[in-house]
Amino acid sequence: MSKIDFHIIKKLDPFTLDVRCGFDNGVLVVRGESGAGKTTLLHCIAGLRAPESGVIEIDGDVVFKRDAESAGKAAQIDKPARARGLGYLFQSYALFPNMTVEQNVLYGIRNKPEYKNRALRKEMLDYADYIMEIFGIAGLRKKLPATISGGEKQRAALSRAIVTKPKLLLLDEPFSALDEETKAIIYSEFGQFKERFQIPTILITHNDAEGRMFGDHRIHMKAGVIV
Amino acid sequence: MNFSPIVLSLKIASVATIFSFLLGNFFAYIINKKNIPGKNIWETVLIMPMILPPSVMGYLLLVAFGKRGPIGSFLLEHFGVQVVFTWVGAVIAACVVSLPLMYQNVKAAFVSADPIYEQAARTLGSSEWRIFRTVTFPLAWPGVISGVALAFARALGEFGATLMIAGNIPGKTQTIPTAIYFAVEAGRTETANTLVLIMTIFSFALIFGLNAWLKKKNYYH
Repeated sequence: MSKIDFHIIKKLDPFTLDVRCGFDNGVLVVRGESGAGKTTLLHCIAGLRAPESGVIEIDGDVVFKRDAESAGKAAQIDKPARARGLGYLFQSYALFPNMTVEQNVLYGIRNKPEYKNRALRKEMLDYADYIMEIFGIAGLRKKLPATISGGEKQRAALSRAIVTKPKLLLLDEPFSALDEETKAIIYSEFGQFKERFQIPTILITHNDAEGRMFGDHRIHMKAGVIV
Repeated sequence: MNFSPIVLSLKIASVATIFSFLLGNFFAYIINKKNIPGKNIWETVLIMPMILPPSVMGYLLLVAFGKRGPIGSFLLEHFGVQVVFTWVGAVIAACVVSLPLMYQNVKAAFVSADPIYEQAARTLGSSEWRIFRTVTFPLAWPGVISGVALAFARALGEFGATLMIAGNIPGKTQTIPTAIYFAVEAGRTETANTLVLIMTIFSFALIFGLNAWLKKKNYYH
């Protein structure tokens, strides 16, 4: 059972993001209009931006902590993004354009110290093969991202995010760039993926239907706060 | 026909481009990706050689690298290296004038790259050095190659500052541009014409080839 807790305070223009939330397992859906601070929230959790104050705890591991009194000073705890062990799916997928699909998927694995160990490396590569197989991108290994479709990019980016076995998965509007036909297929695949992998997930969307379909827990944000 | 100015020019421009490449990448990275203090001043100093008259650059280099200059005396005393009127001086002049072109191209490539790729690499557990090697630099590569080509062309064509710091010693410091100038002055039109033709063909081929390559090298389409 993993537990995710966060309280994030960050000054934005023209409001202050102030979100306190926690959930056990499942998918937390964060809904809200554009500009409500949803992506900033994910960036703060991932370690790509630092909150002014707050605390972020992932599965018993405090990755960020700065008291309100210490705002503007160094944080008590601030693990860099690379050490947080999270999976992040960007809205535009952010597949490295200079690398093939396979190189993209293996990128995170190659950063792990275990990759240097031969036996563990074999295990990790086998797992990556398995992931690429079930996401239906095994045949695209040698292709560059610019040459594959939107749905394939989405699957490749999701594979890349989960192949490292993250403790928490952050999905920033993962379906918004897909056309309606692809979206229907990906929705069904995502439902299966959710059941199969059971990774605690924060899913950002401005689509109510997606929220109802995938959310085990739901919050709605407006101008930086939960409403 | 004496080929030594051609050989020497290629040697000087190549060495200068290597240094210009290393310095250009280093400064473009730390000035635009890291928050170093006084970045505007660093940048201005780097770009100055592009707009200063070559004679001013040559004079400044002569003052700095002369036997009694602050850098020249240090190099002579500790390493036994004399800069003025040697090919090393020509390399320094070519490097200083080509550095702004290298810097501007690499900077444009770094700044225009979408930071989302670096962010993605961070969430995937990558160190900053690996991000630079595998993401930032490869994506900036076409800009870096433009910088290398233009810096090399500029280093090859350097005249004013080179003449002041390295002089025009045949076989030792005489490059194509200085050889052309002195050939014209001495009325050796045939030599001047040959060298001018070589420079023109080379510059045309370089820019033409570069543009063709850059059109092909686009990851995003």
